[in-house]
Amino acid sequence: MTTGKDKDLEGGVAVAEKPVDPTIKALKHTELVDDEPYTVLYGWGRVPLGYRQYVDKTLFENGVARNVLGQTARHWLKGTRPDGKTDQVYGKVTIQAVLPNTAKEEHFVGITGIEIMPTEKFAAMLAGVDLDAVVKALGEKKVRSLIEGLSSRVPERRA
Amino acid sequence: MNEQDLDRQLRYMLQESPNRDEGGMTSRIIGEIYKQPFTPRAMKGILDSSSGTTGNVLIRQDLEPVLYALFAKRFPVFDRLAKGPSNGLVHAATQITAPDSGAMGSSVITEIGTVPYSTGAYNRVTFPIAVFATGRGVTLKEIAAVAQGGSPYDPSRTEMSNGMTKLALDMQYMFLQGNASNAGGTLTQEAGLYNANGIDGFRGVLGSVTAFSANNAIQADISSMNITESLRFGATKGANAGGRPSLAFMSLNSKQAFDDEQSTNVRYDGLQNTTELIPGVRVKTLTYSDGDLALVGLPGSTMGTYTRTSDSALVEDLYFIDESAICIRWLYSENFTVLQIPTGTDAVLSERWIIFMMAGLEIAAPSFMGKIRRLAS
Repeated sequence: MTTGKDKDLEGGVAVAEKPVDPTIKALKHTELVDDEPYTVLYGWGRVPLGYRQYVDKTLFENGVARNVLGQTARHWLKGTRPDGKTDQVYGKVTIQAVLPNTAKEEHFVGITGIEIMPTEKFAAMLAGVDLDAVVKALGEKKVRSLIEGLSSRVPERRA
Repeated sequence: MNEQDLDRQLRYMLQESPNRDEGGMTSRIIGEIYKQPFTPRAMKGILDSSSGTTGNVLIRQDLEPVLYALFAKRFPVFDRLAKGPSNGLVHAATQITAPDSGAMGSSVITEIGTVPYSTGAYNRVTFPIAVFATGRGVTLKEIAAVAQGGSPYDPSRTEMSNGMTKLALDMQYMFLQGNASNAGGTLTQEAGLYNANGIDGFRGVLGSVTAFSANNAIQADISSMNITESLRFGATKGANAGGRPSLAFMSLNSKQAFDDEQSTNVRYDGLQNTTELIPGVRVKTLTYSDGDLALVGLPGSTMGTYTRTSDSALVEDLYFIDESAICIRWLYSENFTVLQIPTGTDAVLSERWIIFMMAGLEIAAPSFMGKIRRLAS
């Protein structure tokens, strides 16, 4: 389940401050421990900002659920019922990835198959971007974080 | 035995099966008699219907029912939901989203403290009203020919019935998956096929499409849980938000899957657990933490399927709704109106009718209801 503390990690596109920890990778169902909490991605990068939905009884916000028990995530990956059986299974969700609970948004990018755009191309693209759409997609908090991150890297203008 | 006696005997033998007829002896005897030269032609005619010139066998086809409707004819969504007049070109309503802006316990003050003033939070919403209409006509020649041919149907009434079925079909389609608010939406998206003249149905309003992404409708994708558990979970969430879900609409495929789940479980599926959907029609109910859900399966394809945003799977919805917050809003008349156009007005010898209804769907409290998504089947 999502906690207040985790909310800072969610929503829209991440603004990475440092290189991504390469040790955090998507886990297979055989690697999950029943009573350990994990972060699960389902629709991250695909659903609009503010998207809230449940998978079974677990709440996903913006395509992310935190603190999901390993046994629950395993059944999602395998498409089985909580008792391990496959009868009366009328739904199946395609989980993007099950990650260690410490995973942050910058880890989600590569794991979900989103390729980081070359910096020159990204810079050129900014010329034609719809700023209103960017604000809507990122959300106010992410926008402020981006502004502050960029401002801190720009020398102060001298009078 | 004279000719008449033989005739009667053969007729009797043809009509009555013998107690034992080893080796098909009866038909062999009759066959032998039939072949004999003394058997007159008039009597052979009794046994022979192959000739079109004997005049012995006439079939009055026109006295049999000749019309079979090969499509879904039941539209429970339209039949069940309450109907009320619209208050304008679009129906307007105001939601009270909160009774107070303060935190819980914020009204507690000291004995001589200053009383805090506050207000509720309000939100104006509108619901479009669509015009559903179809024109029908039958030529005078068709009307006369059917009547004089003896066929037991009236083509005028048949066409009017078809027209009303079309309107009921389109209305149920719009109530379930109509999209008048998310431009560019297609049939295979959750938003539904965009039609600026239509209305917004359950699929979009209770989903996470742009215009309705912040209305707090409950959405749950089935994975490990079954339909029973998912419906009870969703209905409980709706009750916890302040509503009381009372009805679930689902495709017959979903209803079948639900019934399968109950095959070893009588607790929620006894004969006593039924409720009257419309007068004379009872449906099963499912008990959840704060009430009962009447389960209504919908024949036909009005429920539809779409591609789920999260993982691109093809899914269909089950809707659990609070009927106290849903109403079919109408203009002009709460049911179909038939306008008869004067014969010959357009210089064609025919009778014409326009069947229409102007209606929309008021989903006043999306946060009390929601949807369950399951893989389409």
